[in-house]
Amino acid sequence: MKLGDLFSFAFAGFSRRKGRTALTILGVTVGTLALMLIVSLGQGLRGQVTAVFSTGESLRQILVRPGNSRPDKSRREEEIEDIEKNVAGELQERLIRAVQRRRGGPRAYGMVRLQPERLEELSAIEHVERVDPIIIDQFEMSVEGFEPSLGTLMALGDAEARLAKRLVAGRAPDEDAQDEVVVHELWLYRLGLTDQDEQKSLVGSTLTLSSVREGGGGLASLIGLPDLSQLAEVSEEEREVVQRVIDRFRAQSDREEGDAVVSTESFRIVGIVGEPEEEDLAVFERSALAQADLFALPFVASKLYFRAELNRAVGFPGVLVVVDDPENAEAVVDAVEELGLQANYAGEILEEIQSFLTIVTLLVALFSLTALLVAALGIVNTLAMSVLERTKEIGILKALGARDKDLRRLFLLEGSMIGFGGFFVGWILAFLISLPIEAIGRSIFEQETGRELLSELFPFPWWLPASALLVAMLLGTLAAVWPARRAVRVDPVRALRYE
Amino acid sequence: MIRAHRLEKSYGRGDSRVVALGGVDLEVEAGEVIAIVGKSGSGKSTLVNLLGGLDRPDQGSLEVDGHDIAQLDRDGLARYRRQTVGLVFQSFNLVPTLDALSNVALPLVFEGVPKTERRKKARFLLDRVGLSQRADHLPSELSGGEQQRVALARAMVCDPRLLLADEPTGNLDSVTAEAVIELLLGSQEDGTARTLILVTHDDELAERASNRVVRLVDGRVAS
Repeated sequence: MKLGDLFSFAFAGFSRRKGRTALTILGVTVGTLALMLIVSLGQGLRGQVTAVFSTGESLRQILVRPGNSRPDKSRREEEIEDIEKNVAGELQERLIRAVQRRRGGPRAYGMVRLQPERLEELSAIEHVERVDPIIIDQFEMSVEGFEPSLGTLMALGDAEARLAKRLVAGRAPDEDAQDEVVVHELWLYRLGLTDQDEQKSLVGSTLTLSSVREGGGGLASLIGLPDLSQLAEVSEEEREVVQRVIDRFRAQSDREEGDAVVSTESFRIVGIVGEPEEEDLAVFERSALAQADLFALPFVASKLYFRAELNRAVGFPGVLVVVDDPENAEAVVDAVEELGLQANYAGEILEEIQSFLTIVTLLVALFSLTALLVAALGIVNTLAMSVLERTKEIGILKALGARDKDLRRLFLLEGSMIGFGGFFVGWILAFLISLPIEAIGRSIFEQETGRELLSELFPFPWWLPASALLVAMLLGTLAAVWPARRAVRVDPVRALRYE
Repeated sequence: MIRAHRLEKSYGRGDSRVVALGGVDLEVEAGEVIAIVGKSGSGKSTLVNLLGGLDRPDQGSLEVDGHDIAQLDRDGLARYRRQTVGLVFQSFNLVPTLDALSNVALPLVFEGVPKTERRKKARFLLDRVGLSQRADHLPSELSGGEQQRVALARAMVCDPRLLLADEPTGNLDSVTAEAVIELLLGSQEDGTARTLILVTHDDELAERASNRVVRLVDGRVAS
């Protein structure tokens, strides 16, 4: 029996029981619709998360922070021996257990700080393209002819490439220039320059920066690091330095009833930048980039940063290690941790969120699969009824020479066609329903966050309808196995007597 | 053509077991026209079912045109029904959703014959039974006699070597029945050595239409 004939027979069968067939298809439609919407939404959320974590250099950046200590097993064993010698009884047991559980040993082993020489070690790691210290600090910024105002400085590595899209006037700082900076147009507006040409006229002007803060804490508010003065790992010696600096600043503040100016330095404004696009904001720099008024090359910003005594003592609060390829991030993270530093990268966070979303999507998709399974039972019922109603016809077909496989194929085809029908209608409905939900979702997201979604909420990549088609047709075909078997087993002698 | 030896067939089990055929011996030559007669329950239909490959014997052997029916598997039996035998039933057994032409062409579907070819052949046979004008009518739109003529055309569409007609006039009035019998006998006149087995309870018809009458009584050949 040829395929075309099988289709003709199947269609003829459906046309005889249109209502029942339509209801059965509707069951598959509901299941397919739910499955496609859920998987599509899951995919959309994954895409959104990926988009958020893939902006700018996100996947190539590793955020490195000072480490608690280098792992030093020999020091640990030494300490355990000391405890065994000096302490007795249950206290000895408890202390040894405590030492063994501490990864890096006691604080006395030393904290790994991010001093400039450490940055050289980081630069030497294979696949590391760039190491940018995170410097975000506030200064009093003044340009001749305008009232001084507070502004935030940010160190920016690879400035030429990264500022290229944002420049509205001038250029990025030269690689070797000691005194070049770029300012944000918003800061100029706040100075009182409301006209773009007026703003442009400031390119080439001198900008004076005065230190007004106690130093070191700028990053804390921006990337969530604890304030240095509250760090548990700060040694007594360091605490003294901190206290001394704080006391001095307080004394000055009291005297001048305002911000204490500890140093000033002059720079040349070489460019003006606008706000970056959402897709250019790297994850670890997002909040900093969104707040900075002033950009300088890392070595220029470092010089300013290390003017503060405390900063020289504790090093950089963090650095961004930029790798050549996201695939090498994990290996570089391992190498960084080997140095006793803490390291996080967006890819790791992204993977965790994506795994979570995948699990949630799969679990919810299981519910819609339940709907499809119920629909499959509907197919079984419809086709079993059909076999019963067509018993005589099946007998006639057998008497005329139909083979078992002809009848089996006929019913399996009917099952898969119901599956296909359900899929097709479900696909169209899923697409149509997704349109208003997408629009509402976008609107709510924009209202809540003030930002636009970076990707579609309901994407329909080719594999989604393809998989749904496969599932629906497979389910339809499997549901037809038992009715097909019953059709094959029809005894022609009895069937021909059947009325 | 047909060699049946000690054919046995029974239905049911234990106390409800009914012996339909109790050791039938039968030999039919190719091209022969025989009539099988007997009262209701004598085993006529059971014998037709066995000869038509719709059922298998419990005991004995049955060879038709070189096919050992008892030994054929399910596919083999289907092929036998398709290629060797043509069946005409008392209740016509047309597919109600197919028109006359499609009903006639139906056996060719299972042979994998292309649509145009099978429609051409079906049209030719409908013409032979005088129903070319009714080709696109559904069975429900045809009279009993017309339906049986369609069934006869369908039975002959695969050029079977054996034509089995089980009470073909049982549901027809005498005039229509006569016409159908004429067509059945006429089917012998196409040059093929087709064997025709006519099952009937009408002795007069059997005597008139066949070369030989085989009488079944209680599942055995009486004469």
